[in-house]
Amino acid sequence: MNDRMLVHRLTVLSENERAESSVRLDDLSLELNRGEWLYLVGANGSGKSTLARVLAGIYEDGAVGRMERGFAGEGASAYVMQQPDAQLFAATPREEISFALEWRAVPAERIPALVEQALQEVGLLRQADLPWAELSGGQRQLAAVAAAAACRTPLIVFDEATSMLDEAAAERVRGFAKRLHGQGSAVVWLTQRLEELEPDARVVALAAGRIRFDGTGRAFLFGREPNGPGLPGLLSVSGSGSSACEDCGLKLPYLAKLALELHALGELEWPLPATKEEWATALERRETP
Amino acid sequence: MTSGRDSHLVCRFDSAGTEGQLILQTGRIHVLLGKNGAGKTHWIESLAGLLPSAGMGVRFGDEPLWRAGARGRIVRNPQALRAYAYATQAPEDQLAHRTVEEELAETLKPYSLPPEEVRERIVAALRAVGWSEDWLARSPFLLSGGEKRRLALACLLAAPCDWLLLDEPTSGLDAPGQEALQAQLRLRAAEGQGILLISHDTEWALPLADRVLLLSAGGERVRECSPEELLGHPEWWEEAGLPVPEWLQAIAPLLKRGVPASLVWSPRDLARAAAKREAETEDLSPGSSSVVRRRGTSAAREQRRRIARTPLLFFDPRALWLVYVILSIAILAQRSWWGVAAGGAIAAAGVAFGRIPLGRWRGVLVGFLLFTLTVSVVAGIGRSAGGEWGFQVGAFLTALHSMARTFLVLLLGLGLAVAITPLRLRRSLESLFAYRGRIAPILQKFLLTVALMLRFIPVFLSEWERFSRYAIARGKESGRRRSVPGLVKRIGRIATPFLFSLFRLGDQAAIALESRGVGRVASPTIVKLGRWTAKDWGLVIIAVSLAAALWLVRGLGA
Repeated sequence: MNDRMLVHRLTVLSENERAESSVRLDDLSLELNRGEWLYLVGANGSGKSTLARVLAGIYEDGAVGRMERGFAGEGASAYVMQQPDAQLFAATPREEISFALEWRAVPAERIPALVEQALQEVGLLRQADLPWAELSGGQRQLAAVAAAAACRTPLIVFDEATSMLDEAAAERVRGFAKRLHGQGSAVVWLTQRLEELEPDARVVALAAGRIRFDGTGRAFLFGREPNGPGLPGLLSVSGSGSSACEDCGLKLPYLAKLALELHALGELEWPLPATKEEWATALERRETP
Repeated sequence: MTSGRDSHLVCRFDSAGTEGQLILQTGRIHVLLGKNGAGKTHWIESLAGLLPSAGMGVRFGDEPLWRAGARGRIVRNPQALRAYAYATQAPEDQLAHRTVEEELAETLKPYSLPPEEVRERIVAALRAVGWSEDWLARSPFLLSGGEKRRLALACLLAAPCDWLLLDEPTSGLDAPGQEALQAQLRLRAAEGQGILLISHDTEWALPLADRVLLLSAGGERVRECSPEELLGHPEWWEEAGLPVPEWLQAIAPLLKRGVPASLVWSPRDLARAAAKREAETEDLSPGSSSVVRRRGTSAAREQRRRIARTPLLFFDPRALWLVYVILSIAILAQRSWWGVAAGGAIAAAGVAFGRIPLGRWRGVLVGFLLFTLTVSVVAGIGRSAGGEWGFQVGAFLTALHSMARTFLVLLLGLGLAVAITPLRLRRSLESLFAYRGRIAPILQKFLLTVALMLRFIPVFLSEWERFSRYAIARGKESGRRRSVPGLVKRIGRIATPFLFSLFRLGDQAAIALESRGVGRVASPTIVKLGRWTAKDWGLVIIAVSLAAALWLVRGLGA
């Protein structure tokens, strides 16, 4: 059964008030598998938000190309944006989720139980009946995510959903996304925070409306592993184009820079550390010579 | 920068007992860290005079931010307002002029500079963001998102002021932009401007910082320290309710081994130091960290936000409507002042019982009272029974009487507005109009539209307030009374960015609705309202008895 989602040779043009047209997506093709986790990154104006909306099945003006929605099914998929306030239509978390379920045509008698369950999953049971003004930005965003994900969609797109949140709140939203992924949803995660990338997950990077990179998070940060172990220092550090990340106009995270520098000095071996856990052991080794 | 005088930013907290004073020095970059909701933006806007700085005295050099104006009113000191330029979160939202040049000139207007200097500053500001004079004639609205941000930064850099205040300047800025901003801020600090910025991007902000201000989780304390000191004190992050950043956790073993903290900011230097086997020791300068207590901060805001919830929510909306109608009829039926007094007592009891936050509608209520008075006075002027012109107390009282009854009904009506949220209203109307669980699509659409408009009214209001505050910062408005043309101009300045913000909000809301499938399903589920329970009957019975009592006294003494 081949039910992956397919975007084939998609071009999105937009026109401004002066009728000057600009290309937002340029002849772009992408496949997404059922249950996959995809990080979508790129600088401002790279077209990543446009692609995200296309993937979510939201109508885009000026789009030309072919798309098979595959596992995602017809109609729009769940889509969460940066700003919680524009995505909340009710007065309290409970009402919000109930409103979302009503439009999924869930039978009325099942709604209260489903609402309760969704509130519990995002940890908003205690705040279920508070008005928005009494919730923090992170809690409002969680409510928006819960409402978007209500009634289990096969695909959910997070468009910089954590950029307005502090680390602790962002962690809760990520945790809920992980949970949905664990239950079988495909997740497309857009972010400016490259520290969020997981080394073994798929990263697609856009620049100027085209895909510049499609590979693992580790390769995105560090480039490809040099051929054979006997060539230390081959990997150029000072931005000669080895890092896809910098190619796309994105800032290499501090730790990635440090890892490359340490590698150049022969202090770190491939694969270079890219998670908290990997770092914990990476430098400790040096403590006990 | 403009003058040799000392223009440190002094912030004095009048906290109980302890001396609370924070002096931010010009020529330094201060980075304010804190968790969401600790009140970072609130604080920076209080420093800018956009919010009343309760419990905090602010001075820019010798200029106090607030001072007594004419007739004892506390007004902003324009001298102090001109001492800073403020870039809000998403500063590009404020762009409202037709050309880049007008936009920059608007920022410089409050400084009344000679035309040559205006020109010079505009060109210099453009250069600072990497643009030439060719950009002057472009329209801000046709710029891309990134270019708008650059223009907003140019506006910040153009002002001849001692202080730059920036709120999350890196969010939405790409890597080259972030680097350029870093270089620009370093340059400005070296030239003597003071900089205070909020950032959650510690990787970007800490290498830049001369001093770090850590706001505790509740916002009641500020810790001031150097960035290097912060590296050695993980517990200070905890105090601020922030997790220790991952990069800092990762390099902790290196720091423990004695790698100097001053090398941390450059990954290359740090890697080199780490590669050396022998440990170096750095004599850490004696700690100069200090903690200043504040008061009346986030806890107070929390208090203000936490409006007592209304017990009316526990009743069925239909019961509330019924009660409202019954009581209104009884109040409107009153013919005497005794009856109005009785009605007033009932309305007061209703407001108290329902915990109706009258403050929220203060404007409407005061307006209505003034209107009442005017109408009654006008009604009172006329010919008496004897045919003489003059003020007729009887007519005045009659008019006042009928307006007073209307006012009471209005007061009770506010309870409905509090208790019945827009979606709740929509739902009750839907179940009223639904036939066999279905509702006509056109009616459905209409009810949804109305409900959503009602939902977003508070958002619109807060957006308007937000842009009004920004207008103070940009226009350096002291808050003195202004002329009518001035007022009209000001409203124009706020309205343009406000409308753009509404369009963006509308776009996003439309996308969110579409992704939720709203409108795709022909007949969404219609949820039955909560069941009519004994307490609803109780409420109705109480209302009926009160109404009956009112009915009996309606003619008393008339």
